[in-house]
Amino acid sequence: MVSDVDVARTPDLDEQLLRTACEQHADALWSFCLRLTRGDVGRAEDIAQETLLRAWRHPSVLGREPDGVRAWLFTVARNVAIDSWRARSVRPEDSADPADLEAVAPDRTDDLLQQWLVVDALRSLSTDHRAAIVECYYGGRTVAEAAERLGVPPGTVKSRLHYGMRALRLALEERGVTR
Amino acid sequence: MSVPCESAAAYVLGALSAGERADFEQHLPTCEDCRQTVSRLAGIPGLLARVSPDDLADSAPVPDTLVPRLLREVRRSGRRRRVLVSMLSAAAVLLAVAGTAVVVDRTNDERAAAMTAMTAVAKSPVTASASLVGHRWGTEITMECRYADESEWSLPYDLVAVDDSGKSYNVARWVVGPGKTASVSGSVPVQPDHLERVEIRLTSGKPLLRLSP
Repeated sequence: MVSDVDVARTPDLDEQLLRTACEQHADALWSFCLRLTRGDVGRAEDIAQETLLRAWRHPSVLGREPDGVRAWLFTVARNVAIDSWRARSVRPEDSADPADLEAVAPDRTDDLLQQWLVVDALRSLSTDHRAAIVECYYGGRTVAEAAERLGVPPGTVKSRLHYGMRALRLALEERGVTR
Repeated sequence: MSVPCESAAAYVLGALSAGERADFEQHLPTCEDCRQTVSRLAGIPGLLARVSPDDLADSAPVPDTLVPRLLREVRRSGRRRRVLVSMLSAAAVLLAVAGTAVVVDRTNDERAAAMTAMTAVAKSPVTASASLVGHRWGTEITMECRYADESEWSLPYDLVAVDDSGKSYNVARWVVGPGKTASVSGSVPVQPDHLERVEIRLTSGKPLLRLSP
């Protein structure tokens, strides 16, 4: 980023920022876009593309900490999806498109955004930390049962929960998810 | 940490056996640390309840077409933007005559970092100082570059960072008005202790100034 009028921001630098953003965020953004469109690859790609273009037009966004960029991208993708859904729903020739019936309704996208930020925070944990939380919370297992399934001592599971939950709390805060 | 304290996260997740839970609940009123941990983590099960563990599975790979299509679009828009940039440069000439420097876009992070003078490695009308600030994602480089020649605009310069494996990153390219100071900032995805040097170069690749962290 360049901060004087004497200075020209160069296309090369912009492109490099965008490439870096794609390397860091394209996977997560893509899975969210697929979720927004319930697996419609074509529309997911349109939403992902428009979202990344908007990021490129706001270079200060790309300079943020990665977790902040992530939350920004998800929020923009949600808005792009709502806009495209509304545009389609007022065009009668498109309304017979069965994909519209499948797409997530706008009033559910807020929930979906919040859900996906939680998913993204969980995915950011180390495999060991995540596995311990998944076994105990989603699997409904005790520490001892999880330890048996994971093939580690119970003390290790406790310790992974201890550090994993702290890391998760931090990852959620960085994504702006508070409750 | 004593053993009961390490049970706090398992307690919040409901993963303690009945006996351990009873022990922990006896311990809890006596331990300020555990009470804090439990209250800090208490909201997490509610958030976890919103998602399904199936959502955590690896999803479909990004289509090969996404990034190339995006870069094509960006290059198309970039041509439009270059026109805007040259208009801005023309405006800057006028501003330079009036002796006014206008900051149009401050970076959002205003944390002041110590600027270190860069060392000249070739004769040139440019002097500069720079600061390197480490972040989890890499290094933020801020540089001020003064151009002593009062009559001409400078040649274009590149700010290049080289990491300890010899890989180089183009951070920025800019020109400076007569007698003006340009502020340039950018970032590289490399930690400061892995940066071998930062250089201001001519576009031919010839280094003019150097900073070795």
